Amino acid sequence: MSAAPPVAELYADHHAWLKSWLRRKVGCPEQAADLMQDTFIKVMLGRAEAQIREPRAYLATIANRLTVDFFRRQQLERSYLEALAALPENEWPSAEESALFKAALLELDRLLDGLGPKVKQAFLLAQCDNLGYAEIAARLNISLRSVNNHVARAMAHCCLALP
Amino acid sequence: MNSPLDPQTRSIHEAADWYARLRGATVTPSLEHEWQTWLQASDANRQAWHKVETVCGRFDRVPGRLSVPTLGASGARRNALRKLALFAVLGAGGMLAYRQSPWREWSSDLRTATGERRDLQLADGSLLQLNTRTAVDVRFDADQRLLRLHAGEILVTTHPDPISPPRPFRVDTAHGRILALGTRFNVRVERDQTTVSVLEKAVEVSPATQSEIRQRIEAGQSLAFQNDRLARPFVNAPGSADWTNGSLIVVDRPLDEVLAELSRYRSGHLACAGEIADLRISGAFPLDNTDEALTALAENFPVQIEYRTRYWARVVPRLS
Repeated sequence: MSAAPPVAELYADHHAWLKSWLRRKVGCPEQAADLMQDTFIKVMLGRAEAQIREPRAYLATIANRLTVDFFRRQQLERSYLEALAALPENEWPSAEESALFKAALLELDRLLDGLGPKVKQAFLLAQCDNLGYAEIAARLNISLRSVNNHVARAMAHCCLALP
Repeated sequence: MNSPLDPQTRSIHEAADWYARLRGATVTPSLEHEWQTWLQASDANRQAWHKVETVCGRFDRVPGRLSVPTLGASGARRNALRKLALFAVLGAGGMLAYRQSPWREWSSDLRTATGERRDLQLADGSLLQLNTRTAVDVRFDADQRLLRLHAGEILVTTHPDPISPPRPFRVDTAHGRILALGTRFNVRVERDQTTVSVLEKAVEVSPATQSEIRQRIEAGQSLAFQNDRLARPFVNAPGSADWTNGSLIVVDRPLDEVLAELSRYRSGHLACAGEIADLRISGAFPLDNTDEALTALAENFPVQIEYRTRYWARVVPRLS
């Protein structure tokens, strides 16, 4: 572990690179700028520069995590609002419940990440909508045996994805 | 389910198969007996089944009519009036039961599992963030806004009370009481003490059995207290509330302390060889994936990680 480049130097040397890297990822210059700031804030909070041997790889790792999270939240928020819109108004959750649900959904989305759409759908219908396998099989146009296998595969995937 | 899988992973696949079978069929006594036999066959099976329960518990937190469309099973028609009868957690006793989802009540008794974090807004607009393995009750009434923190760690950002006259905002732990003075603060309960770290404005702390003692703690300060005494305030550790962003920030701390911190977010055994317990560590580590944190540790410090299973990890000096 050689002498440490301070954060200011890290910023001076790499912020332009990081910003263009982020802009390529998110498309929008403002969001790229925000994410870049967040990245350097994390670096400053960490004061971990003494251990940084590959500054760009280090910055890219942090920035990438922030970007993935940013996209995930954005997409989830949109789907959540669409799901709410489909409900009658008297069933809308309170703001407090919504905050709770969104946080929980973000976690669930991480657990399910990587599953194929049919597998995910079969599992959600069984686990969350409490449908019988026969009904799921009919809706997804798959065999009963496939429903059972999809549910098992999704559950194993979620168990292995638990933090 | 062939041999290359380690026993834990194999048990998880078996548990998931059992879940699918039990979920899909009418559970007959003979099926339940067969399942029980599998469950009792090994610790690995029981641990795997516990994971299945944990996953069920996570899904139970959101009503199906919101989770199914949001999580991506589009095209599934749902009956909005259908009861929220969700598949229940199966206890070690082997009871199979359905129960009503208690989701309306969650605002009162909040729990998080290992590695889990949750954020929510309270009825008065205050923000409550729960860290891993945390249990907190929310008790708001006409006279006060009270949080009872039984275990774990919370970050509270208070909001002015919409009710007039404003009710005091308090956090009680086994060790004493914290009165918020328009503020943002972190509270962590351990077995012997509670530590409060103030990020904005101030709080007032009283030990449980010495309620006449009141110590004001200002922004930037932390204080540890036991039920009969207060320690001296100290300056907040850097990044002390950074867990809310999913990061563990450490500056020049011994390896064994860093591992103890990571253990809070991780199931299973995590320890280090005695000769490197004092190795000084600085860095930012992800809390959502402690395997990644351990990898980062091994990449940046002269250590390597030995895994016997995913649940048994030991940090040892790196062989050169």
